[in-house]
Amino acid sequence: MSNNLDTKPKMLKEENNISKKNPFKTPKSYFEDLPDKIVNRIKEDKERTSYKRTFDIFKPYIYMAAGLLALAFLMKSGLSLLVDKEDITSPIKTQTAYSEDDTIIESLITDDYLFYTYINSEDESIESEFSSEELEEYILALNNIEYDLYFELE
Amino acid sequence: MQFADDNDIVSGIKSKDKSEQAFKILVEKYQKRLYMHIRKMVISHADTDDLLQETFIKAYRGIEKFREDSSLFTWLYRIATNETLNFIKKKKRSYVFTATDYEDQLILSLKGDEYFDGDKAEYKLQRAILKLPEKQRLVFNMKYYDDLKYNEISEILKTSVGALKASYHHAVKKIEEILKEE
Repeated sequence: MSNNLDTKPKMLKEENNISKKNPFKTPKSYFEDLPDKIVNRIKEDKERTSYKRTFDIFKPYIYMAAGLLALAFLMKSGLSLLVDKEDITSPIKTQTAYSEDDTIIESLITDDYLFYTYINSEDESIESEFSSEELEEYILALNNIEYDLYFELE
Repeated sequence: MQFADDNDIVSGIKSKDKSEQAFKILVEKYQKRLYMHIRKMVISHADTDDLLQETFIKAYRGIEKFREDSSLFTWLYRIATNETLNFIKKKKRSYVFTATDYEDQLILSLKGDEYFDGDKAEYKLQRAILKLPEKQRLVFNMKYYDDLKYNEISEILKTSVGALKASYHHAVKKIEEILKEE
C-alpha cells in the first residue's frame, strides 16, 4: 500500500510528456535585487514604528489639549453670541466722536440755562455764576466771532 | 564574514552588528525555493513577490522565537505556507458573490501571465493542479515539484505522514483523471 502511495505519478511524465521543469519565470534581476529590497523595507518599517511610538506616548496629551481648545472655542463663541444678542435687540447706538466742540456745546446748554436763569432773575441775591469775561466768551461762542476780531470791530 | 550553516546565520541575525549581513545571506539562500513554493499556489508574480517579502520580514521579526533544534528551512517554509494559505482564504472571500471562483480566476490568469513559460502540456498540468483543493495542491506541489520528504512536509503542515500520503495519492489520481478527460 505504502509503495503505491509513494510511486511517482507516471502518467504525469510519460503519457503527457510533462517534465518537472519549472514553467514560472521571474522579471530580470528579481532575485538579485530582492535581499536589498526587503532590508530597506524593514528599515522603513522600523522608522515608521518609532514615529508611531512617539506619537502614541503623546497622544493622550494631544487629544486633551485639542479637547480643551475646542471647549474654549465653543465657550467663546457661545459668550460672544449672548453679548451680540443684547446689541441686536437694543437701539442702534451711534458713536459720537469726542471733540472739543462737544464740551463747548454741552457747556453752552448748561450755561444757557444758567444764563437764562441769571438774566431773568430779578433776585439780585442770586449770585451770578458767570463773570463778565465768561459772559463775553459765551456771546462770542454763540456768534462764532473770534475774540480778537470782536475787539477790532469795537 | 562567512556563515557556515543555518545556526550561524540565525546567530548573525540575532546579533546587533551582523544582523543585516546575515539576514541578506538568509534571503539569498532560500528565496528561490520559497518563491516557487508560493508561486505555484498563487500563480501571479506580483502576489508571490508580496507574500515572499512578508515571509522574510516575519522571519526577521520572529527570529528570537526560532528554536534552533528545528530546521531553519522548514520554519521558513511554514511561514511561507501560512502566509499563502491566509492570502488564498482572503481572496476566496472576495469571490463569494461573483460568478467565477478564485480557482477559475487563477486558471484564467495563468493563460495570460507574461511570466508563465510553460508549453501546452505544462499549462494543462498546472490547470489540473489548480482544480485541487488548496491543501491537497500544497501537498502535491511539495512532493512532486519540491521533492520534499513526507516527514519534512509533516513538520511544515503539522499533519501526519499517513494523512499526507493519502492526500498525495488522491491528488495524483484526480490530476490524471482531469488530464485524461482533456
